[in-house]
Amino acid sequence: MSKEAAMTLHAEPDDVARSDALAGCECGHCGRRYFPKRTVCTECGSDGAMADVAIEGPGALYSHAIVQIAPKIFEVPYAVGYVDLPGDVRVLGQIVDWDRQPLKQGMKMQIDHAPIATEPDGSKRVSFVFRPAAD
Amino acid sequence: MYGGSQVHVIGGAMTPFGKHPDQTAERLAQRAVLDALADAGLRRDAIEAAYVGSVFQGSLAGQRVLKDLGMTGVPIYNLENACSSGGTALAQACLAVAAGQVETALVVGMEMLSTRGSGPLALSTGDPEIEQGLTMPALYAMRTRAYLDKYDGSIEGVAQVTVKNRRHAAGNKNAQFRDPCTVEEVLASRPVADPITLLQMCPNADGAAALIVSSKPPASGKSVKVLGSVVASGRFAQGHRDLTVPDITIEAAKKAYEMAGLGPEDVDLAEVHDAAAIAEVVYYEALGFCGAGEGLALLAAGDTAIGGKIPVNPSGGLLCRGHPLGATGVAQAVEMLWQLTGRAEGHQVEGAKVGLAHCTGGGIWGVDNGACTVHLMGV
Repeated sequence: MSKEAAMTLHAEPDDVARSDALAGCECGHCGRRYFPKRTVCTECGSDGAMADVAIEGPGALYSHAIVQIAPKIFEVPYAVGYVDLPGDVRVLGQIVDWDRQPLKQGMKMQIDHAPIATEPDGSKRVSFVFRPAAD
Repeated sequence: MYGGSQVHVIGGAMTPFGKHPDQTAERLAQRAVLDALADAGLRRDAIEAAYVGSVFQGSLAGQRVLKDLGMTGVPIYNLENACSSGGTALAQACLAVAAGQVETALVVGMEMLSTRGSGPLALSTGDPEIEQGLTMPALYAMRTRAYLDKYDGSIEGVAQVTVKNRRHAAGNKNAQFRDPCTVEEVLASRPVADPITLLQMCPNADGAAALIVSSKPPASGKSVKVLGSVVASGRFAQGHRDLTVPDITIEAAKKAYEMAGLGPEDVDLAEVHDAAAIAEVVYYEALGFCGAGEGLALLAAGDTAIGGKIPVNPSGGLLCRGHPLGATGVAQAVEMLWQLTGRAEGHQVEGAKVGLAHCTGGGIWGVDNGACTVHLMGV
């Protein structure tokens, strides 16, 4: 572990090799999974016992909002939602294609990656996103 | 109770809440401090310590308020706990008085938001959910949807919170929004984060409030006892969380009731943290005023209106008073002092003996809320 990583509780999400998964971690002591990655397990307290793991979809949409007023870097309207991924990992993310069908609690959501914001320097912020799964 | 100790709130005051861009937070707070001292009938040298809650007022906010009143020299504690900063300041003052460290302490809550621009308050950076585009109204929108999905309610039912609180605020000269409104107007107001519209969210505001807390009750009888005083922080969880069950409020309320030896059935009125309309409904349930899923029915029956079984936010709450972050928790306690001593002009709950004040907030990833305070007061 680099010195810098050891100083911070939340590691930056790595570049994911797969566009349909999240780069998370799993505690080697208690098995708790996390996203984003961290070094300390909030469940069992282990420190430095995390192993990288791909957190895969599909997950289930718990709740969502259509955001109409937001900081300037985001283009409104857009959808955000809480998705419960397998292994009890809840993640908040933007939902793409939200306007093609009504979003409903329990709807299956796939993981994808897309630009979600324009940074002040004009570059795009690319992030994981959720996409309603095809039936 | 604090063992064998007694803690009394013996004076209080607040400025009108609203947009005061021609003022400073310090000037607003100084007005509240002087009025609170006058209300308690005390000279400034009676204050042995000061507890000052604010969020965006910077380093040494309390010193900047008190130095110009010639009130420095005593210990001054500046406290930041997001929306619960003022409630946290009150809790710490009560503790110092109960412990006998001081006889009389000053509590101040203050915030100047109108100079920070319009729109939803910018949330802390570096939070993984904020980076994805989460806003506070979006979080409340998800809470609203989760509640309606779980209990089959209607958004019209939720909008009734704003309608009721506007009705209450009509009689509160310190509230920002005092005009009556209808469900239709609430739902037709500007969309913020569907299904949340502007009138379902509390407005930003400027304001300050101050309280005098003492182990010695005044002869006047215009004081209340602090029966329970609790600060809680939210527990982190990565996994599933039911957005209709605010664990931090449930835990703080349970501890406050235990401390006071009271239950929700003993509470005659409450000021709760209605930062959004749905929040008040969820807190009816979390504070024990009704069972899970019964919040909208309690509201529809008029039980939480002035004249009902358990009036909630007779002041108009955050939705109408506005929410100058650090000031809110102290203002709620000032409302309790006025209500329980029969001085809540225009929005009095008749015969109230026990009141509850509840603040919660601070959106950070993985916890229901950052910080929550619950105070029970009585006469």
